[in-house]
Amino acid sequence: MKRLNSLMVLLVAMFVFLTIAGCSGGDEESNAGSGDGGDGTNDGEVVTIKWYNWDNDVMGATTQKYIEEFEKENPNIKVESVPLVPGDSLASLQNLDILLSSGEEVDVISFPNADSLYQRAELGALASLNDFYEEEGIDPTEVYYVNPSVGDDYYGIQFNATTNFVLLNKDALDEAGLEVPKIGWTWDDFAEYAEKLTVEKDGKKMHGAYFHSWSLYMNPIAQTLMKHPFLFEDGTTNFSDPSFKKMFEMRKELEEKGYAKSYSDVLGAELGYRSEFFNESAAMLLTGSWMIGEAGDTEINPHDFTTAFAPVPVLNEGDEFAAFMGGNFLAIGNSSTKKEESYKFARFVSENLSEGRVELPGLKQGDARPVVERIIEGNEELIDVESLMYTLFDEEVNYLDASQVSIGYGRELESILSDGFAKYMLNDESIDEVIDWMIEEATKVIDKNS
Amino acid sequence: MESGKVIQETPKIQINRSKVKQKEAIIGWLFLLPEMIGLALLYVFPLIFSLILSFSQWNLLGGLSGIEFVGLDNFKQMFQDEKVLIAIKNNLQFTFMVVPISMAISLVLAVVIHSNVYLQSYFKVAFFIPYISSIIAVGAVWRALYHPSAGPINQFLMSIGIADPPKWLADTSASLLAIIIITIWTLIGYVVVIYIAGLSNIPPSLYEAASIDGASNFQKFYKITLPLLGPTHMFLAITLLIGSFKVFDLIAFLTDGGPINSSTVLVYLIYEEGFQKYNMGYASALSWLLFAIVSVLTFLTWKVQNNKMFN
Amino acid sequence: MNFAKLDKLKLVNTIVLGMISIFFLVPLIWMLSTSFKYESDVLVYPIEWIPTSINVVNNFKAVWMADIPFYLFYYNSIKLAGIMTLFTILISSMAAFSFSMLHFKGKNLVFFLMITLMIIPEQSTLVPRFILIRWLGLYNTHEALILMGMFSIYFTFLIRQYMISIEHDYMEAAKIDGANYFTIYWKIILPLCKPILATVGIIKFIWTWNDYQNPLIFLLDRKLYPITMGIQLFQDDYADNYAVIMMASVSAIIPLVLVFIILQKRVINGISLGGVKG
Repeated sequence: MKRLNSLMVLLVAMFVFLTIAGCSGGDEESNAGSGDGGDGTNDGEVVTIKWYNWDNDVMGATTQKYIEEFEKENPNIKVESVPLVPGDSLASLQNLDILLSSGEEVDVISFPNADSLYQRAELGALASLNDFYEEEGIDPTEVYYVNPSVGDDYYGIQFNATTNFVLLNKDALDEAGLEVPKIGWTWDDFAEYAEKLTVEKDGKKMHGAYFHSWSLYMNPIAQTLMKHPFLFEDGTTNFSDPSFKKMFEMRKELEEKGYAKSYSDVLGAELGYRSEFFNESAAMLLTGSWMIGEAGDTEINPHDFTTAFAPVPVLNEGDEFAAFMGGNFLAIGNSSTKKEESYKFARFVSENLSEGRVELPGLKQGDARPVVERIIEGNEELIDVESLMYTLFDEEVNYLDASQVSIGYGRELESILSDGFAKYMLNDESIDEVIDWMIEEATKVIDKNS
Repeated sequence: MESGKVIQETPKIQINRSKVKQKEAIIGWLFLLPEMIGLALLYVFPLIFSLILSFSQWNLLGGLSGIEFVGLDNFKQMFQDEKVLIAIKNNLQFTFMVVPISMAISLVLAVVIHSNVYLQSYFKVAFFIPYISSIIAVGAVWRALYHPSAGPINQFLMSIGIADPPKWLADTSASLLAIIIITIWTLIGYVVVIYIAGLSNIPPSLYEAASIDGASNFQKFYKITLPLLGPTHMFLAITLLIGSFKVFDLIAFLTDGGPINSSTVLVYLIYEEGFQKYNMGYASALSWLLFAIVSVLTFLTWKVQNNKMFN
Repeated sequence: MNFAKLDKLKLVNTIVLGMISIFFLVPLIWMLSTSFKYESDVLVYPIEWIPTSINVVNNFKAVWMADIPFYLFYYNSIKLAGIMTLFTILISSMAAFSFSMLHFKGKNLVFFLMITLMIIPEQSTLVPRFILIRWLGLYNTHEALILMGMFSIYFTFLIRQYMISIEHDYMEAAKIDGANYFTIYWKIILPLCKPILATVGIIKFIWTWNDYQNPLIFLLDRKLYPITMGIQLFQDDYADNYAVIMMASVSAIIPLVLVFIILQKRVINGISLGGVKG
C-alpha cells in the first residue's frame, strides 16, 4: 500500500503541476490587464515603469545611475530595468517581440538602431511621441540629431549617438613610420596603410586590417557616408552605387595579398573583432563609438599598445566628409498605461550627461567632450587622446541629416547584401553579375513592400 | 479444484464480469487520461491550429486579431520560393547521404565487432561516445577542426598536397557536406548498437550449416546476415530517414543555413520564418510541407522494404 | 592449427578496428588536448597532441567561474532531463498499461489514432506550440520545456509492446479478486517492465540532455539555460578562443561519457532493445 500511496502522490503532483502551469498563465494575463491602475496621472501614488534593454554588467551600472537620479527628481515614479538578453541587442529584440505579442504591458524600450524601431512602429507596437513633444513645446529635430519617424509621427528618442571610425594600432603605425590619418583620407590610402602595416612579429603575423562579418564592413561607404544603409533617398536600392563594386574589389584584393584575414576565416571560424584587434592580429579596424570606452581598457581587452583613431575614409580624394550618425533610441510601447511617465523618463535619460553616461549623447546642443573625457578616464595611457578628440569633434566633422526613408524590411536587404558579398568573395562570381543580382533582388523586395 | 465448486461459483462470476467490465473501462480511461490530455494539448490542438494558420497571414506581433485569411497564398508562395526549393534539395541530399552511408559503415563495423574481435565492449563504447555527447559541444569541436585556413583538417589536407581544400562551413559547396560528416560521425555508434542487437538474433546454427556446405564468409554475409537483418534495416531506414529530415541543431549552431542558403533545410526555414521573421502563417504552411514529405518518404520506405522482404 | 589461424584473424581484426576507433575518436582527443593549451598553441601544425605548455587551470576558471558559472547549466540540464524522464516513464507506462492489460471499448481506436500522430514531425507543430506556451504564460520557464517533454507516443508504444509479452494471468487473477488495478500496475507490472523502463529512461535522458532546439526557442533567461545553450554562450563570448571553448565542450561531454562507461551495458542494451522492439 505504501507504494501505491507514492504513486498517488506522484499523480496528484502531476496534476497540480499541470493546473499550476495552466493557472500561472491566467494570473499573468490578469495582472497585465488590470495594470497598476495608474492611468498616466498620479496623485501621490507611486507608479512603476519598466525599461526593457540589453544591459550587460557595464551598461547596467549606467542604467542604475540614470534611474537613481531620475527617481530622486521624481519620487512618484519608480523605474525597473529589465535586461532581456544581456549584451545581445538582437536576441533582446526577439524576446521583446514575444512580450509585445503576448499583450504584456511594455513601457520603455531601448532600440539599437532606427531600422529595428521602424519594424515595430509599423506593426503598431509603439506609441507616437508627437503629442508629448507638443505638450512639452519642443521640436525634436532641434534637440536630437536623429528622429526616427514613420509618416509624420515620431517614435524614437535618441539617447545615445553612434558614429563610425577606424581604430589603429599606434605602435604599429609608428614602427611603419605612418601618420595617424586625417579627414579626407581615401579607401585607397587605407589599402596602402594595410599593406604597410602587414608585418611578421615574433613569428606571429599581424594583418594590416580586419573586416568583420557584419554588413557594415561589406561596403563601409554605404554604411558610413550615406544617409540610409540600403536605399537612396528616392527609395530605390543603393546597391547600384559604384562604391559597392569598388569596396568589394578592394576587400578581395586585400585578402588575396594577405593584408586582411580572409572572409572565409571570419565566417567559418566566427572570429571576434575585438580579439583580432587587441590581440594584434590586425592593425586597423573599422568600428564605432561604442568602442571608445573599451579602447584603453586592459581589463576587458588585455593589450599593451596605444590605440589611435581616424575618421572613416572617403571614396575619392576631395570628397566631402559627412558621416552617418546612428544611435540608440528609446521608444514607448503602445500597450503602456503609463506613457506620460515613460516619456518623462526617456527624455530624462536622453538629456542626462552626468557621471553614469558611457556613450555619446544624441543632443545637438551642448558639449560632449566632458562625457568623452570621463569615458576614457583612467585609460588615457593606452589611448591617443588627441586623435580621438579630433575624430569626434573637429570642426570639419559633419554629420548627415537623418534619412527621409524609413523601412521595416531592412533585414531582408541586408541578407541580399551579405549573400551578394559571399557570392563574390567565396564563390568567385563575377563582380558585375553579383551587383546586377543584388540590384534585381533588392528591387523585388522593395516592390513587394511598397 | 473440485468440480462442484466451479459450478457453484459460475453465476457469481457472471455478475461480477459486467461490473468488472465497467470498472475496467473506467480504470482504463483513467490510466490513459494524462497521456490523452498531453496529446490533445501538444499534438492535436497544435495540428489544427497550424492548419488554420497555414491559410492565413499572421505576424506574431499583430496579436490574434491580426490573423488574416489568405486562402492558398502561402502554398502558392511556397512553390515559387527559391529558398524552399534549395531547402528541399538540401534535405534530400542530406538524407540520401546520411542514411545509406551511416548504415553501410555501421553494418561493417557491427559484423566485425559482433563476430570476430577482442575487446568487444571497448569498441561498442568507443563508437558510441559521439552519440551520447552533446551535439552542440561536438559542433563546437568540429567548428574549430573545420577552421578554413588554420584548422587541423585543412592543415592536414594541405600537408598531403591538396593545395585548395574546401573552406567547410564558409564554403557554399561544402557547408552541407561538413554538417553531413558530423551527423554521420555521431550516428554511427547508435546504428552499430542496433545492428549488433539484430545480429545476435540470428541463430549461429545457420552459419554453422553454411560452413558445412562450404560457403565463404562473403557468401554467408550476403546470403544469411543481410537478409536476416531485414527488420533491422527497415527499422533503421525509417528511423534515420525521419530523423534526418528533422536536422536542425547543427545547422542552427554552425551555419545558420548559410553561406547563401547552401546549408538551409526545411526545419531551419520554419525556424527562420516563424521565429525570426514572425511570419507564422508561412511558417505553418512550411510545417505542413515538412509533414507531407516525411509521411510520403516513410510510406515509400515501408513499401520498398516490404516488397524486398516478400521477394 | 585451425584454432591458431582463427586467433590470428581475430587479432588482425582487433588491431585494424582499434586503429579505426582511434581515428574515429580523434575529434574528441583533439578537444581534450586543446582544453589544456594556451590559445597561441591551439592551431599549431603539426598538432601537439600532448601540450608542451599547460594552461588548463586558467581555461578551467574561464569556464567554471564565469559570470554564469558552468555548474548552473549543469544543474539546469540535470533538473530538466531528470524531471522529464520521470514524468515520461510514469505517463507512458500508465497509458501502455491501459493499452496492453485492460479491455474496454474505444481502446483500439485511440491507439490507432495515437500511432497516426506519431508520424508528425515535432517541428511541424513548433509554431502553434510556441503560441500555446505563451498563452499559458510559460514562455521562458523550465515548466514549458517539461510540459512539452513529458508526453511521448513513441515511448508509450515501446512500453506497450513490451507489456503485451507479459503473461496476462496476473490480470485475470486480480480481476477475479476484484483487486486494485493501481496495485497491479505499480507492484506487479512496473517491476516486470524494468528493462524497458530503463531503456526509455536512458534514451529520454540522452535526448533531453542534448536538446538544443526547444531551449533555443522557449528560453530567454541565461540562468535557465541547459548545457547546450551554455556552450552557445561560450562560443559567442569567446569567439575564436578555442582553448576555452574546448574546455567548455570537455566539461559538457566528459561527465556524461564517464557515466556512460560505468553504465555501458545498461545503456547499450537499452538502446538496442528500443531498436529491436520498435
